[in-house]
Amino acid sequence: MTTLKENVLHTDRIAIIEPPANKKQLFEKLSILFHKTDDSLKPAVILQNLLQREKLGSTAIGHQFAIPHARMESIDAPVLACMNLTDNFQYDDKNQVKFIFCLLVPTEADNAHLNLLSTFAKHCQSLEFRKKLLACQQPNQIYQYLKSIL
Amino acid sequence: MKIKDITVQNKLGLHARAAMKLIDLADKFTSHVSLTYNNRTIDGKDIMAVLSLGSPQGTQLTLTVEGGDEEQAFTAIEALFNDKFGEAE
Repeated sequence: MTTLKENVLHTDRIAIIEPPANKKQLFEKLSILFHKTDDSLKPAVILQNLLQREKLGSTAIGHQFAIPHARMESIDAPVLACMNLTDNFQYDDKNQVKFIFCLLVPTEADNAHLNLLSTFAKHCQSLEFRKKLLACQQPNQIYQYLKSIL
Repeated sequence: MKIKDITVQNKLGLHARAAMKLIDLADKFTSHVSLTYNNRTIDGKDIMAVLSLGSPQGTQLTLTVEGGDEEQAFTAIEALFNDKFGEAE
């Protein structure tokens, strides 16, 4: 199992919000979370990259979870932002989503983000784990759960 | 039942989009599809399970297909891996 490297996750990049009007607004809110902890990450660029990736295929992975992600030139290690919506959000034609696990990864492919995604997906296979995350009402709770697994 | 070792050949490994392509393809067949890696066998039609493998380039997986259309399913899935999931490298 991988250990959570310093700075991959930060409580300031975790939010509990009401479902936005559309996917673009959702990605805008995620982009701002990344910008909050690193002002070299420009929200407009993040938004564009997330939307571009999403055009290639939806990142919903079922059971109310989605993993939007994008490559960024300006980072050298993966960074994560999470959102738990207060209600279900129609993420694509087939999937309603409540929990969002959003990953920005460096342009140069390495296996760090595959490991992060794989660890997260492994735990998401457990109904108990999903229930716990979906029930979180405080960013710090999400932080603690993810810290214990990643 | 058809079983064979297959290799993840694309540079990015079995990342999210590649995993989704695999699921979309496997779903077209009625056969049961599974992948085994490091003695762990997972359902090849379950996106979370496929992502949980986190297989980088060069990983060898065992593909098992069983059911009425196993021949066609196996050939199609093997071709997807060999085609590097449609990626350039």
